Amino acid sequence: MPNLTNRIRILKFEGKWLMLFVFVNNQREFVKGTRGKGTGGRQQRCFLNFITIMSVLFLSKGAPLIRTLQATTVPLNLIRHGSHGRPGYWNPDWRASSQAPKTMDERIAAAKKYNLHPADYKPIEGKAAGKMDLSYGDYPDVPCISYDARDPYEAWDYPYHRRNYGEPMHIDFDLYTGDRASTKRHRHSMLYMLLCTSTAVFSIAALYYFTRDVYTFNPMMPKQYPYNDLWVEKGGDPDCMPIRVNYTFETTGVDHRTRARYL
Amino acid sequence: MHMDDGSIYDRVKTAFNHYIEAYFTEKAAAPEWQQSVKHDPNFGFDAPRKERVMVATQKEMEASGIALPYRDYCAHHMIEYKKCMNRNTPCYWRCQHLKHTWIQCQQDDYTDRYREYERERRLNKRELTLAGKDFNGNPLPVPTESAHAKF
Repeated sequence: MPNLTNRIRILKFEGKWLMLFVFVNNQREFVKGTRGKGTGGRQQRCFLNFITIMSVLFLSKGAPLIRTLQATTVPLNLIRHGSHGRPGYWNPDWRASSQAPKTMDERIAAAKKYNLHPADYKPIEGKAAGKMDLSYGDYPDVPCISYDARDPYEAWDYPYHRRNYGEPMHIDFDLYTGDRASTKRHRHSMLYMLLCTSTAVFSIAALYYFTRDVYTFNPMMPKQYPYNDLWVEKGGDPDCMPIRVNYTFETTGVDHRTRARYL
Repeated sequence: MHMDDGSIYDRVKTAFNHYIEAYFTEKAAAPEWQQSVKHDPNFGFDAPRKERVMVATQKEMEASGIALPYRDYCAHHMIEYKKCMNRNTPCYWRCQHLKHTWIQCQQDDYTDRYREYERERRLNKRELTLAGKDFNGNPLPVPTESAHAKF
Protein backbone atom coordinates (compact mmCIF):
# COMPACT_ATOMS: atom_id res chain seq x y z
CA MET A 1 0.00 0.00 0.00
CA PRO A 2 1.25 3.49 -0.71
CA ASN A 3 2.40 5.32 2.31
CA LEU A 4 0.19 8.38 2.26
CA THR A 5 -0.31 10.95 4.96
CA ASN A 6 -3.32 13.21 4.84
CA ARG A 7 -2.87 16.84 5.71
CA ILE A 8 -5.83 19.15 5.76
CA ARG A 9 -5.38 22.71 4.60
CA ILE A 10 -8.03 25.39 4.90
CA LEU A 11 -7.57 28.36 2.65
CA LYS A 12 -9.53 31.15 1.05
CA PHE A 13 -9.98 31.28 -2.73
CA GLU A 14 -12.16 33.72 -4.68
CA GLY A 15 -13.84 34.78 -1.48
CA LYS A 16 -14.80 31.24 -0.49
CA TRP A 17 -13.33 29.00 2.15
CA LEU A 18 -12.04 25.70 0.84
CA MET A 19 -11.04 22.60 2.71
CA LEU A 20 -8.19 21.00 0.89
CA PHE A 21 -7.11 17.42 1.48
CA VAL A 22 -3.49 17.15 0.51
CA PHE A 23 -2.08 13.68 0.18
CA VAL A 24 1.62 13.67 0.77
CA ASN A 25 3.48 10.69 -0.49
CA ASN A 26 6.40 9.52 1.54
CA GLN A 27 7.54 6.85 -0.83
CA ARG A 28 10.80 7.19 -2.60
CA GLU A 29 9.56 5.83 -5.91
CA PHE A 30 7.33 8.81 -6.47
CA VAL A 31 10.29 11.10 -6.84
CA LYS A 32 10.45 12.23 -10.42
CA GLY A 33 13.98 11.14 -11.21
CA THR A 34 13.49 7.57 -10.09
CA ARG A 35 10.24 6.81 -11.93
CA GLY A 36 11.78 5.09 -14.89
CA LYS A 37 14.36 3.16 -12.93
CA GLY A 38 14.04 0.20 -10.64
CA THR A 39 11.99 -2.95 -11.02
CA GLY A 40 8.59 -3.35 -12.61
CA GLY A 41 6.99 -3.63 -9.26
CA ARG A 42 8.41 -0.34 -8.23
CA GLN A 43 7.26 1.29 -11.40
CA GLN A 44 3.83 -0.12 -10.92
CA ARG A 45 3.63 1.04 -7.36
CA CYS A 46 4.86 4.39 -8.40
CA PHE A 47 2.23 4.63 -11.12
CA LEU A 48 -0.46 3.57 -8.70
CA ASN A 49 0.53 6.38 -6.38
CA PHE A 50 0.29 8.86 -9.17
CA ILE A 51 -3.15 7.56 -10.14
CA THR A 52 -4.27 7.69 -6.57
CA ILE A 53 -3.45 11.34 -6.29
CA MET A 54 -4.96 12.25 -9.66
CA SER A 55 -8.14 10.34 -8.91
CA VAL A 56 -8.49 12.19 -5.64
CA LEU A 57 -8.20 15.40 -7.58
CA PHE A 58 -10.78 14.51 -10.24
CA LEU A 59 -13.23 12.36 -8.33
CA SER A 60 -13.70 14.92 -5.61
CA LYS A 61 -15.74 17.00 -8.09
CA GLY A 62 -13.60 19.77 -6.86
CA ALA A 63 -13.31 22.19 -9.71
CA PRO A 64 -12.28 24.89 -7.24
CA LEU A 65 -9.73 22.50 -5.82
CA ILE A 66 -8.12 21.84 -9.18
CA ARG A 67 -8.31 25.50 -9.93
CA THR A 68 -6.44 26.24 -6.74
CA LEU A 69 -3.68 23.86 -7.61
CA GLN A 70 -3.44 25.26 -11.12
CA ALA A 71 -3.46 28.83 -9.94
CA THR A 72 -0.36 28.25 -7.95
CA THR A 73 1.50 27.16 -11.06
CA VAL A 74 0.28 29.67 -13.68
CA PRO A 75 1.75 33.16 -13.62
CA LEU A 76 -0.73 35.98 -13.15
CA ASN A 77 0.15 37.87 -16.33
CA LEU A 78 -0.68 34.79 -18.41
CA ILE A 79 -4.05 34.53 -16.73
CA ARG A 80 -5.07 38.06 -17.49
CA HIS A 81 -3.69 38.64 -20.98
CA GLY A 82 -2.43 35.39 -22.41
CA SER A 83 0.86 34.73 -24.08
CA HIS A 84 -0.72 34.75 -27.55
CA GLY A 85 -2.08 38.25 -27.22
CA ARG A 86 -5.75 37.29 -27.00
CA PRO A 87 -7.86 37.82 -23.95
CA GLY A 88 -8.69 34.79 -21.98
CA TYR A 89 -6.35 32.09 -21.02
CA TRP A 90 -8.67 29.77 -19.16
CA ASN A 91 -12.37 29.22 -18.66
CA PRO A 92 -13.26 31.79 -15.96
CA ASP A 93 -12.02 34.52 -18.25
CA TRP A 94 -14.24 33.28 -21.09
CA ARG A 95 -17.30 33.25 -18.92
CA ALA A 96 -19.88 35.92 -19.69
CA SER A 97 -20.30 38.49 -16.99
CA SER A 98 -23.64 38.52 -15.23
CA GLN A 99 -24.70 42.01 -16.27
CA ALA A 100 -25.10 43.51 -19.72
CA PRO A 101 -22.81 46.50 -20.36
CA LYS A 102 -24.36 49.90 -19.77
CA THR A 103 -21.74 52.51 -20.47
CA MET A 104 -19.90 52.89 -23.76
CA ASP A 105 -16.62 51.84 -22.21
CA GLU A 106 -18.15 48.66 -20.94
CA ARG A 107 -19.56 47.96 -24.37
CA ILE A 108 -16.20 48.43 -26.02
CA ALA A 109 -14.55 46.19 -23.44
CA ALA A 110 -17.17 43.51 -23.95
CA ALA A 111 -16.81 43.71 -27.74
CA LYS A 112 -13.09 43.27 -27.40
CA LYS A 113 -13.62 40.35 -25.08
CA TYR A 114 -15.75 38.56 -27.68
CA ASN A 115 -13.51 39.46 -30.61
CA LEU A 116 -16.12 41.74 -32.18
CA HIS A 117 -16.13 45.24 -33.60
CA PRO A 118 -17.92 47.57 -31.17
CA ALA A 119 -20.43 48.52 -33.86
CA ASP A 120 -21.35 44.83 -34.30
CA TYR A 121 -21.61 44.13 -30.63
CA LYS A 122 -25.11 43.86 -29.18
CA PRO A 123 -26.06 42.01 -25.99
CA ILE A 124 -28.83 39.43 -26.08
CA GLU A 125 -32.02 41.26 -25.20
CA GLY A 126 -35.70 41.33 -26.02
CA LYS A 127 -36.80 38.83 -28.65
CA ALA A 128 -33.45 37.08 -28.85
CA ALA A 129 -33.62 36.31 -25.15
CA GLY A 130 -36.91 34.50 -25.66
CA LYS A 131 -40.22 34.57 -23.86
CA MET A 132 -38.71 33.60 -20.55
CA ASP A 133 -36.86 36.87 -20.41
CA LEU A 134 -33.58 35.23 -19.65
CA SER A 135 -30.52 37.24 -19.05
CA TYR A 136 -27.39 36.17 -20.84
CA GLY A 137 -25.25 38.90 -19.36
CA ASP A 138 -22.91 40.51 -21.84
CA TYR A 139 -22.86 37.62 -24.29
CA PRO A 140 -23.24 39.02 -27.84
CA ASP A 141 -26.26 38.51 -30.06
CA VAL A 142 -24.57 37.11 -33.16
CA PRO A 143 -26.67 36.07 -36.18
CA CYS A 144 -27.68 32.43 -36.16
CA ILE A 145 -26.35 30.74 -39.28
CA SER A 146 -26.43 26.99 -39.06
CA TYR A 147 -24.03 24.48 -40.55
CA ASP A 148 -26.28 23.85 -43.54
CA ALA A 149 -26.66 27.55 -44.30
CA ARG A 150 -22.91 28.10 -44.54
CA ASP A 151 -20.93 27.82 -47.74
CA PRO A 152 -19.59 24.28 -48.10
CA TYR A 153 -16.84 25.35 -50.54
CA GLU A 154 -15.23 27.93 -48.30
CA ALA A 155 -11.91 27.03 -46.70
CA TRP A 156 -13.06 26.91 -43.11
CA ASP A 157 -10.59 26.61 -40.30
CA TYR A 158 -12.84 23.98 -38.75
CA PRO A 159 -14.64 22.26 -41.63
CA TYR A 160 -16.48 19.94 -39.27
CA HIS A 161 -18.35 22.92 -37.82
CA ARG A 162 -17.84 25.28 -40.81
CA ARG A 163 -16.34 27.79 -38.48
CA ASN A 164 -13.29 29.99 -38.41
CA TYR A 165 -10.80 30.53 -35.66
CA GLY A 166 -11.80 33.21 -33.19
CA GLU A 167 -15.26 33.61 -34.72
CA PRO A 168 -17.89 34.55 -32.14
CA MET A 169 -20.37 31.76 -31.64
CA HIS A 170 -24.12 31.91 -31.33
CA ILE A 171 -25.47 31.26 -27.86
CA ASP A 172 -27.28 28.14 -29.15
CA PHE A 173 -24.48 26.99 -31.40
CA ASP A 174 -24.85 23.39 -30.26
CA LEU A 175 -28.41 23.27 -31.65
CA TYR A 176 -27.32 24.18 -35.16
CA THR A 177 -24.49 21.76 -35.87
CA GLY A 178 -24.50 19.68 -39.03
CA ASP A 179 -26.53 16.82 -37.63
CA ARG A 180 -29.18 18.99 -35.97
CA ALA A 181 -31.43 21.92 -36.75
CA SER A 182 -31.00 24.06 -39.82
CA THR A 183 -31.77 27.69 -40.53
CA LYS A 184 -31.79 27.20 -44.26
CA ARG A 185 -34.92 28.39 -46.02
CA HIS A 186 -37.28 25.62 -47.08
CA ARG A 187 -37.98 24.43 -50.60
CA HIS A 188 -41.75 24.74 -50.09
CA SER A 189 -43.84 27.05 -47.98
CA MET A 190 -44.99 26.00 -44.56
CA LEU A 191 -48.63 25.90 -45.69
CA TYR A 192 -47.79 23.56 -48.57
CA MET A 193 -45.89 21.21 -46.27
CA LEU A 194 -48.72 21.27 -43.75
CA LEU A 195 -51.24 20.44 -46.48
CA CYS A 196 -49.15 17.52 -47.72
CA THR A 197 -48.81 16.07 -44.25
CA SER A 198 -52.46 16.55 -43.37
CA THR A 199 -53.56 15.01 -46.67
CA ALA A 200 -51.68 11.82 -45.91
CA VAL A 201 -52.80 11.70 -42.28
CA PHE A 202 -56.45 12.43 -42.95
CA SER A 203 -56.60 10.02 -45.87
CA ILE A 204 -55.51 7.20 -43.61
CA ALA A 205 -57.87 8.39 -40.88
CA ALA A 206 -60.78 8.50 -43.36
CA LEU A 207 -59.96 5.01 -44.60
CA TYR A 208 -59.94 3.81 -41.03
CA TYR A 209 -63.25 5.51 -40.27
CA PHE A 210 -65.24 4.46 -43.31
CA THR A 211 -64.20 0.80 -43.08
CA ARG A 212 -65.15 0.52 -39.44
CA ASP A 213 -67.97 -1.95 -40.26
CA VAL A 214 -65.91 -4.10 -42.61
CA TYR A 215 -64.52 -7.18 -40.94
CA THR A 216 -62.12 -9.87 -41.99
CA PHE A 217 -63.65 -13.25 -41.33
CA ASN A 218 -63.69 -16.82 -42.47
CA PRO A 219 -66.94 -17.96 -44.07
CA MET A 220 -68.06 -20.16 -41.19
CA MET A 221 -70.58 -20.06 -38.39
CA PRO A 222 -69.53 -19.75 -34.74
CA LYS A 223 -68.24 -22.77 -32.94
CA GLN A 224 -70.76 -25.11 -31.35
CA TYR A 225 -70.30 -26.06 -27.72
CA PRO A 226 -71.95 -28.85 -25.73
CA TYR A 227 -73.97 -28.61 -22.53
CA ASN A 228 -76.11 -25.73 -23.77
CA ASP A 229 -73.18 -23.71 -24.96
CA LEU A 230 -71.32 -24.25 -21.66
CA TRP A 231 -73.97 -22.37 -19.75
CA VAL A 232 -72.82 -23.46 -16.29
CA GLU A 233 -69.12 -23.22 -17.08
CA LYS A 234 -69.53 -19.65 -18.23
CA GLY A 235 -71.22 -18.75 -14.95
CA GLY A 236 -74.90 -18.99 -15.93
CA ASP A 237 -77.69 -19.85 -13.57
CA PRO A 238 -78.55 -23.58 -13.93
CA ASP A 239 -82.23 -22.92 -13.17
CA CYS A 240 -82.79 -20.74 -16.24
CA MET A 241 -80.62 -22.76 -18.59
CA PRO A 242 -81.75 -22.61 -22.25
CA ILE A 243 -81.85 -25.78 -24.30
CA ARG A 244 -79.55 -25.67 -27.30
CA VAL A 245 -79.09 -28.65 -29.56
CA ASN A 246 -76.39 -28.97 -32.19
CA TYR A 247 -76.68 -31.19 -35.23
CA THR A 248 -74.34 -33.07 -37.48
CA PHE A 249 -74.87 -33.30 -41.23
CA GLU A 250 -75.78 -36.98 -41.02
CA THR A 251 -79.44 -37.96 -40.99
CA THR A 252 -81.12 -40.53 -38.80
CA GLY A 253 -82.74 -42.37 -41.69
CA VAL A 254 -81.69 -43.14 -45.23
CA ASP A 255 -80.81 -39.96 -47.06
CA HIS A 256 -82.27 -39.11 -50.40
CA ARG A 257 -79.23 -40.13 -52.44
CA THR A 258 -79.17 -43.62 -50.97
CA ARG A 259 -82.92 -43.86 -51.28
CA ALA A 260 -82.79 -42.88 -54.97
CA ARG A 261 -80.20 -45.55 -55.57
CA TYR A 262 -82.53 -48.25 -54.21
CA LEU A 263 -85.70 -46.98 -55.82
CA MET B 1 -68.70 -14.05 -30.26
CA HIS B 2 -67.44 -17.52 -30.80
CA MET B 3 -64.62 -18.94 -28.75
CA ASP B 4 -61.89 -20.21 -30.99
CA ASP B 5 -59.02 -18.44 -29.34
CA GLY B 6 -55.70 -20.16 -29.33
CA SER B 7 -56.45 -22.99 -31.69
CA ILE B 8 -54.10 -23.62 -34.56
CA TYR B 9 -57.05 -23.54 -36.96
CA ASP B 10 -57.71 -19.89 -36.29
CA ARG B 11 -55.35 -19.16 -39.12
CA VAL B 12 -57.18 -21.12 -41.77
CA LYS B 13 -56.42 -19.64 -45.14
CA THR B 14 -59.53 -18.89 -47.13
CA ALA B 15 -60.54 -17.55 -50.46
CA PHE B 16 -61.35 -13.93 -51.07
CA ASN B 17 -64.71 -14.40 -52.74
CA HIS B 18 -66.84 -14.36 -49.61
CA TYR B 19 -65.74 -10.76 -48.95
CA ILE B 20 -66.98 -9.72 -52.38
CA GLU B 21 -70.24 -11.54 -51.78
CA ALA B 22 -70.80 -10.26 -48.27
CA TYR B 23 -69.92 -6.65 -49.00
CA PHE B 24 -70.81 -6.09 -52.67
CA THR B 25 -72.70 -8.65 -54.73
CA GLU B 26 -74.86 -10.59 -52.25
CA LYS B 27 -75.19 -8.32 -49.28
CA ALA B 28 -78.65 -9.47 -48.22
CA ALA B 29 -77.86 -13.16 -48.63
CA ALA B 30 -74.70 -13.17 -46.53
CA PRO B 31 -75.20 -15.06 -43.25
CA GLU B 32 -74.55 -13.36 -39.96
CA TRP B 33 -71.35 -15.16 -39.15
CA GLN B 34 -71.16 -13.79 -35.63
CA GLN B 35 -74.63 -15.05 -34.72
CA SER B 36 -75.97 -18.57 -34.35
CA VAL B 37 -77.83 -20.51 -37.02
CA LYS B 38 -81.02 -18.71 -38.06
CA HIS B 39 -82.91 -21.30 -40.10
CA ASP B 40 -84.59 -24.51 -39.03
CA PRO B 41 -81.76 -27.06 -38.82
CA ASN B 42 -83.87 -29.85 -40.31
CA PHE B 43 -85.26 -27.85 -43.24
CA GLY B 44 -84.52 -29.49 -46.56
CA PHE B 45 -83.53 -32.86 -45.14
CA ASP B 46 -85.53 -36.02 -45.85
CA ALA B 47 -84.90 -37.41 -42.41
CA PRO B 48 -84.10 -35.49 -39.21
CA ARG B 49 -80.44 -34.82 -38.61
CA LYS B 50 -78.48 -36.58 -35.93
CA GLU B 51 -77.68 -34.63 -32.81
CA ARG B 52 -74.04 -34.16 -31.97
CA VAL B 53 -72.87 -36.51 -29.27
CA MET B 54 -70.77 -35.23 -26.41
CA VAL B 55 -68.62 -37.96 -24.87
CA ALA B 56 -66.78 -36.27 -22.02
CA THR B 57 -68.84 -35.22 -19.03
CA GLN B 58 -68.64 -31.83 -17.39
CA LYS B 59 -66.93 -33.30 -14.33
CA GLU B 60 -64.29 -35.02 -16.44
CA MET B 61 -63.48 -31.85 -18.30
CA GLU B 62 -63.24 -29.88 -15.11
CA ALA B 63 -61.09 -32.54 -13.42
CA SER B 64 -58.65 -32.66 -16.32
CA GLY B 65 -58.29 -28.92 -16.28
CA ILE B 66 -59.26 -28.15 -19.87
CA ALA B 67 -59.60 -24.51 -20.76
CA LEU B 68 -63.05 -23.25 -21.74
CA PRO B 69 -62.36 -22.85 -25.48
CA TYR B 70 -61.40 -26.52 -25.68
CA ARG B 71 -64.46 -27.92 -23.88
CA ASP B 72 -66.01 -28.73 -27.21
CA TYR B 73 -67.14 -31.95 -28.89
CA CYS B 74 -63.49 -33.09 -29.21
CA ALA B 75 -62.76 -32.78 -25.50
CA HIS B 76 -62.60 -36.54 -24.91
CA HIS B 77 -59.75 -36.84 -27.43
CA MET B 78 -57.93 -34.08 -25.66
CA ILE B 79 -58.42 -35.73 -22.27
CA GLU B 80 -56.91 -38.94 -23.60
CA TYR B 81 -54.03 -37.07 -25.09
CA LYS B 82 -53.36 -35.26 -21.84
CA LYS B 83 -53.51 -38.52 -19.89
CA CYS B 84 -51.03 -40.07 -22.27
CA MET B 85 -48.70 -37.14 -21.96
CA ASN B 86 -48.94 -37.31 -18.17
CA ARG B 87 -47.82 -40.91 -18.24
CA ASN B 88 -45.17 -40.63 -20.94
CA THR B 89 -43.54 -37.23 -20.60
CA PRO B 90 -40.97 -36.56 -21.98
CA CYS B 91 -41.51 -39.31 -24.57
CA TYR B 92 -44.08 -37.26 -26.43
CA TRP B 93 -43.92 -39.38 -29.59
CA ARG B 94 -45.88 -42.13 -27.87
CA CYS B 95 -48.95 -39.88 -27.91
CA GLN B 96 -48.79 -38.70 -31.48
CA HIS B 97 -51.73 -40.82 -32.62
CA LEU B 98 -53.94 -39.43 -29.88
CA LYS B 99 -52.87 -35.93 -30.79
CA HIS B 100 -53.61 -36.50 -34.45
CA THR B 101 -57.00 -37.93 -33.58
CA TRP B 102 -57.79 -34.78 -31.66
CA ILE B 103 -56.61 -32.54 -34.46
CA GLN B 104 -58.64 -34.48 -37.01
CA CYS B 105 -61.72 -34.07 -34.82
CA GLN B 106 -61.10 -30.32 -34.65
CA GLN B 107 -60.73 -30.13 -38.40
CA ASP B 108 -63.99 -31.96 -38.94
CA ASP B 109 -65.63 -29.50 -36.59
CA TYR B 110 -64.30 -26.62 -38.67
CA THR B 111 -65.51 -28.26 -41.85
CA ASP B 112 -69.00 -28.51 -40.41
CA ARG B 113 -68.91 -24.85 -39.55
CA TYR B 114 -68.06 -23.98 -43.13
CA ARG B 115 -70.89 -26.20 -44.31
CA GLU B 116 -73.32 -24.52 -41.94
CA TYR B 117 -72.31 -21.14 -43.35
CA GLU B 118 -72.85 -22.33 -46.90
CA ARG B 119 -76.23 -23.82 -45.96
CA GLU B 120 -77.32 -20.54 -44.38
CA ARG B 121 -76.19 -18.62 -47.43
CA ARG B 122 -78.13 -20.82 -49.83
CA LEU B 123 -81.28 -20.71 -47.69
CA ASN B 124 -81.03 -16.92 -47.56
CA LYS B 125 -80.76 -16.78 -51.33
CA ARG B 126 -83.75 -19.09 -51.65
CA GLU B 127 -85.83 -16.85 -49.38
CA LEU B 128 -84.88 -13.77 -51.34
CA THR B 129 -85.72 -15.40 -54.65
CA LEU B 130 -89.12 -16.50 -53.37
CA ALA B 131 -89.77 -12.96 -52.16
CA GLY B 132 -88.96 -11.65 -55.64
CA LYS B 133 -85.84 -9.85 -54.58
CA ASP B 134 -82.32 -9.41 -55.72
CA PHE B 135 -79.50 -10.95 -53.61
CA ASN B 136 -78.76 -7.41 -52.48
CA GLY B 137 -82.33 -7.07 -51.21
CA ASN B 138 -83.60 -4.90 -54.06
CA PRO B 139 -86.87 -5.90 -55.76
CA LEU B 140 -86.42 -7.59 -59.10
CA PRO B 141 -87.83 -5.79 -62.18
CA VAL B 142 -91.30 -6.92 -63.11
CA PRO B 143 -91.33 -8.43 -66.64
CA THR B 144 -93.35 -6.27 -69.01
CA GLU B 145 -95.14 -7.25 -72.19
CA SER B 146 -92.53 -5.68 -74.39
CA ALA B 147 -89.92 -7.88 -72.73
CA HIS B 148 -92.08 -10.90 -73.55
CA ALA B 149 -92.55 -9.72 -77.09
CA LYS B 150 -88.87 -10.22 -77.83
CA PHE B 151 -89.24 -13.94 -77.41
